[in-house]
Amino acid sequence: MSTNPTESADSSNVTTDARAGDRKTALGKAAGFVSAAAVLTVVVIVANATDHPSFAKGALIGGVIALLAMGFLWWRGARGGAAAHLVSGTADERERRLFRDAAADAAIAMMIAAVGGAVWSLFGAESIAVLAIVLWAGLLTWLISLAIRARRG
Amino acid sequence: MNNDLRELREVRGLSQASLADALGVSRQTINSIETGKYDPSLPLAIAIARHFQTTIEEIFHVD
Repeated sequence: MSTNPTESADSSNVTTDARAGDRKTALGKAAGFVSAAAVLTVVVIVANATDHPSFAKGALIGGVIALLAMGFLWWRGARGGAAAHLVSGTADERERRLFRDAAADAAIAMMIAAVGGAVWSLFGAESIAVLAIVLWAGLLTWLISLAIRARRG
Repeated sequence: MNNDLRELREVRGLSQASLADALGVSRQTINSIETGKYDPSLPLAIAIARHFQTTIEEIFHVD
């Protein structure tokens, strides 16, 4: 049980943990956006400083796409689906559970990919390639799992 | 777990969307509960029972 209901007899006043993000402000969203942009900037700077321009370019493109997707989902807000609700902080308990379960699937996939990558590295694979596989395994598994779980209800 | 949420809602002439708004959840969540695909948390079950002025046991039944 993540939250407690209020003691009000009026169900319309009962506060479940659903839609808890309704109280989130535009300032909070802006802070999240700026934080994500800052992380992206640091990654790109570090990649360039360590002479990995290809990595930096990929991170920049992927990061900008992610930020644009985040902005789109914020814009959709309550009118959108589960993803828009989550990004906007208005996801209810079922939607948050969908994301949590999908994240658990992604974590398992990343562990398996990490083991596979470790073995692959014994055969001379570059660390950056192993890292990319682990990240992609997590991302793709999360997206696929989420789509399947959302369809199943 | 089975439930009588759809019957209760329809008797009162409520749409899934209006019930969802009243409970602070998405319409999809109401649909998932009605079709038995999702079992609500205890706080949400209490909220549903209070909304229909009944008890959880009257709405939700163990298979």
